[in-house]
Amino acid sequence: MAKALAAAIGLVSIAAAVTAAAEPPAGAAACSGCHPASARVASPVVRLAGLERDAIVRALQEFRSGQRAGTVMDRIAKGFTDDEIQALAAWFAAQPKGGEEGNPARVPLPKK
Amino acid sequence: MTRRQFLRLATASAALFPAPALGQGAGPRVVVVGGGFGGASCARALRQLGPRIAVTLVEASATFTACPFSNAVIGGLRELSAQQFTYARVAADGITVVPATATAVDPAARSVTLADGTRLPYDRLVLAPGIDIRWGALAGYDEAAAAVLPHAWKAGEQTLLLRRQLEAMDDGGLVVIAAPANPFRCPPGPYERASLVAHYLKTRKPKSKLLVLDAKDAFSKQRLFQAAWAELYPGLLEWVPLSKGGAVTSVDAATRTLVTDFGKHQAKVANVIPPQKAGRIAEAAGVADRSGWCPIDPVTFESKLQPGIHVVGDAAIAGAMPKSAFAANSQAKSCAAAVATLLAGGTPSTPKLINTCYSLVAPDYGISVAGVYTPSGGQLADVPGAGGVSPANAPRSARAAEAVLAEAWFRTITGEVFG
Repeated sequence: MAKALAAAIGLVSIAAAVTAAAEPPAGAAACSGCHPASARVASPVVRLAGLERDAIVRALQEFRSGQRAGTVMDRIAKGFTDDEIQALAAWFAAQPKGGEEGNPARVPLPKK
Repeated sequence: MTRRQFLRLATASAALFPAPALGQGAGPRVVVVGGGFGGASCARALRQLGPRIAVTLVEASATFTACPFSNAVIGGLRELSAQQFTYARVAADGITVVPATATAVDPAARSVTLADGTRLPYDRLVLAPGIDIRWGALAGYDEAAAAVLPHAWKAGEQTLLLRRQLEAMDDGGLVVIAAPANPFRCPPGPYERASLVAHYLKTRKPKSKLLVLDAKDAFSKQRLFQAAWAELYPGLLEWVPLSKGGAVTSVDAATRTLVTDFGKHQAKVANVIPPQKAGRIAEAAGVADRSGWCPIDPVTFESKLQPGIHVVGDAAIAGAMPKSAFAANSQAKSCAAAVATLLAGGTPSTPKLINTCYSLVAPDYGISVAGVYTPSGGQLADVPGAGGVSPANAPRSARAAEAVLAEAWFRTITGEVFG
């Protein structure tokens, strides 16, 4: 029973991820207020499109738990559930990379 | 359903899910009024979400002058040209940019009337009119008074006027900033302005004094601002809260005098940030309530007073979300998604929105507030446990990093919206 339930929950998560690939999940549209989506914008803030899914999940979870120091992301990540983080990660990972490659000029983050 | 309605829905669906078999003739029409962070963002997001939606942006000014960072212009740290953007790229996206003033809305006929009498029909209308000054709400403060006591709360000539007045003032003068009661555009704005004016005075006219007369007892990022003021501008900047007689009850432009219940302050330079309301077209469209602001559905941003009209940005009553450029941009993108879904006959999903506001206390000293919001109880509410301000006891390196990120944020958001 528990196994079946876990499998069902797994299915729901997959369904959420599939949906996420079709239209932006909750919160995704807001990110480009700081994380550039347009190829014409140069910024020290990391581009999210095309990042590895697991890396996005890990970053958001670590910002949320306080494990990773952030400027504002530690405060923002706390507003998202595990499922929402999975959906956001799936969405951004599926977006084609745009703009300059990589993020050479990262801003030094404040020490906690 | 009539054939026409069916076709409209079909083309709207095609807009969301482009398929060659669907969609003949013109797509649904969305008119956006107001080309600021809310309106221009919404128009662009609609264009991306629904290539078949005919998007029209009505904006009277050929140039947009951004308010965020305009306090740095006042403080002599930046030129106004760095705040200015055109609509060339917006138009290049395939958005019809109409350089005109919208004067009326007929919600029943679903059309917007322009100053020259032209009527623009719409299937859905988005109003992003920003703020208007509530002239007359503060005794003695009218448009003529604003030419002497600038508000500088809409960036442009007023911004330059305040800067010129500070530049012309002799060392040792009294500068007064009057801050309004809630709600108003950019809650931390008056205090960032006070900081950067204090920075100008400290570096250029150190015998001068800055008084902030406030109609409130509390304000955004208050502890961070006050700690920074004590460190950077001791003896120069004094904040007078409501409970200590801070509320300005009238002004006299001829003598540059600001009157409170506790006394009079004659300034050499006075910046009066007056009470505000939603931009004029909101009232004309019947979407503003008695407060002067616009109640909206938190999922779709559709007016609670007029169906088919959506309101985003400073003009909207957005619950816990502040009236900021970031919030307007975030709302605009959620609204665009909801409008595209509604035009396709779908049900908009529950959004999650974000706000981040940086303030400069000095050129190399930034602080921020952030929040995450979702509809709850008919309002946009804070997601519990999320958001908040920069840490209180952060090292100066963290403040410097936030100043860099503030500038990066401005470049990004203006690039996303206008670039």
